[in-house]
Amino acid sequence: MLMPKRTKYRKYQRNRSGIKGTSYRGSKLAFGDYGMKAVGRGEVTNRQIEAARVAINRVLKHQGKIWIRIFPDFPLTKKPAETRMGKGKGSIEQWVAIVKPGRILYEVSGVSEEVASKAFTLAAQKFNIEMKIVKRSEWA
Amino acid sequence: MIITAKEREVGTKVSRRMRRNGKVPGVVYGIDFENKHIELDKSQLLAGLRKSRRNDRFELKLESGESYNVVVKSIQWHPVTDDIVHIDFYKLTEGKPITVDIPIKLTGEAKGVKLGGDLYQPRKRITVIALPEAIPNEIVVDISDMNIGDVLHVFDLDMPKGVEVKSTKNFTLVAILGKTQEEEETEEETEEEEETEEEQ
Repeated sequence: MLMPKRTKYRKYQRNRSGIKGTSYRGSKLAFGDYGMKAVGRGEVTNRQIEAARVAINRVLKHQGKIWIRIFPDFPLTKKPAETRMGKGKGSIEQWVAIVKPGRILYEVSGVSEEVASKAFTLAAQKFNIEMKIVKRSEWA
Repeated sequence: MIITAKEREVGTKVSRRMRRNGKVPGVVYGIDFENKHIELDKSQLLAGLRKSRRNDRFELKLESGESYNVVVKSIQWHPVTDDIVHIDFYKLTEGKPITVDIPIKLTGEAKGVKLGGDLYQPRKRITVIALPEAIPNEIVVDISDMNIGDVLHVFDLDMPKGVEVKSTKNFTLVAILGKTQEEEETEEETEEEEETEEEQ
């Protein structure tokens, strides 16, 4: 699963204001012909990213090409169950990517619109964020 | 294609009000021409864009009676709603070249793709300098002769007369990725050799 090779610090504080606003960067199709764009906002875990990738690959049947446009670089910690408070911050439980509205998560090329649409519809179900499918336009 | 517009005030609040009322703020600029801030009807503009292609010429008619030959230089789209936020028109001057992005259209099915290779097109547009009368809508590239391992660069393109490439010449446009039959055979042979060595 996706996670950074090394980080500057092991654990971070959650930046609650970092999820505000709109994603202007990463909001245009850069590689493929079809893409899956976030309409809502939230944190996307590396498990979700992997599950969606597998769902897309199952539909594509290893035809075409996939690009993953997000990377889970933020660690989230959790204390073990039935533990008293204190004794330091919990251990890293999962890695997440912060997703703002407008962010493109996946792109595909080399497949028909129907196939891409089916793949993204299945992949979108892996996330707790609303998604939409975008297509390359001559004017964009 | 004719697009009607009228001059507008400049400012964030004015532009936001315009967008709420189904208008799109825009600007026209060109050589030896003072910029004009304009507003356009969104539905009319979208219909016009749908019917036309990139680098098509438009006739921009202002309410004041002035009319210009323009091309769409750039469009800002909203990242979430995909609505038009702002549009830039470039006024054409006869005999003066302009810089535009031209889409590349691939025709035919490559030999390599039929053999199981993957078509890789890292660049879908190239930047060119062209005279207004020579701006092509697209550059058509026939890839039917391309085999696995073949690469097409910008310098391989036959550009129309009056069009000069501005992008770096050695950019890859199209490549057919995959393993050729010889490579696959040699790989299989080496794998078999390794297996026999392990058995011994």
